[in-house]
Amino acid sequence: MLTDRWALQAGSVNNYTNRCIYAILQLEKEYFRWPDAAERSQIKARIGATSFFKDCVGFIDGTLITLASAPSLHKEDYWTRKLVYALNSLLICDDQRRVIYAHHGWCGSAHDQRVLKSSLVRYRVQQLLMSFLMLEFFSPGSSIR
Amino acid sequence: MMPSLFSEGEYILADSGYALTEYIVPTFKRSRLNPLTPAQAHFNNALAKIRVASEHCNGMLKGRFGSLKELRLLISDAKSAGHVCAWMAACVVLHNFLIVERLAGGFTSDDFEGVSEDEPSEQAERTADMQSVGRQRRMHLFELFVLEKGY
Repeated sequence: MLTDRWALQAGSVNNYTNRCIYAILQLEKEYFRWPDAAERSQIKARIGATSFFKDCVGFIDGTLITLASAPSLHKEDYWTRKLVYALNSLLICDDQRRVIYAHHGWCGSAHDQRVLKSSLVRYRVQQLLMSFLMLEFFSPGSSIR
Repeated sequence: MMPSLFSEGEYILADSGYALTEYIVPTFKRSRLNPLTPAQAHFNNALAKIRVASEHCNGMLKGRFGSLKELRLLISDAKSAGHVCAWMAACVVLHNFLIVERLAGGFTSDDFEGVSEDEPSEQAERTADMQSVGRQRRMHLFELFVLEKGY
């Protein structure tokens, strides 16, 4: 559609899209992250003001992202109970509907609990790598920009 | 979920699809042998009432980004699967951007100190332990709930 409208080749549209995605992801650290202790206490206060749950910092939910076409690789894994091909994304959001944690890319046939487990594994690996890299390459007191 | 993500006593709410762990409080699940007591049903209701925000969040994401309703990307190999993940991550960033910029009173994001890099704790977190902590927490909340609402 875009190619007809602006006389672009499909490859250019892809390139521009990818550049946009890349640029947006540069903002990820600013807009998408786990709230720190102070922010969590704000969330707790807001949720506690309207609800019985006083120490709740978020809500976890899995959602299916429907695919328009079946994946060409392992498509049976993407077939879901809702009778469409889909991906399963895990989202944790706060009371303002802001996403504070997400885990994308699991196939639709995976159960929410399984996605959660895998996201915890990813988190642990990240933490391990971090501590390992820190110990390995940075002497105490030094830092990188 | 790692301790560094949560302060003392903090937890997140889930639906019955999730297992009880140290930091996750799901609803009571009805089974053939143990039907829900009225008080448990009320607890579930109260939980669902506040947890509906997560369903709103999903709905807003899909409403804002039509591509998430029907993703027109082909997954053919690891690279394209990664591309799809980046696509969805970008949608999430934009979604948060819209919320943060709209809410003057929302939390600011000057730095990235939210996730601290603690030492990885020992592997000894056994599911049974986590479950018992979670169960206690839910029982505790449930008792408070019953007391407060007088069921």
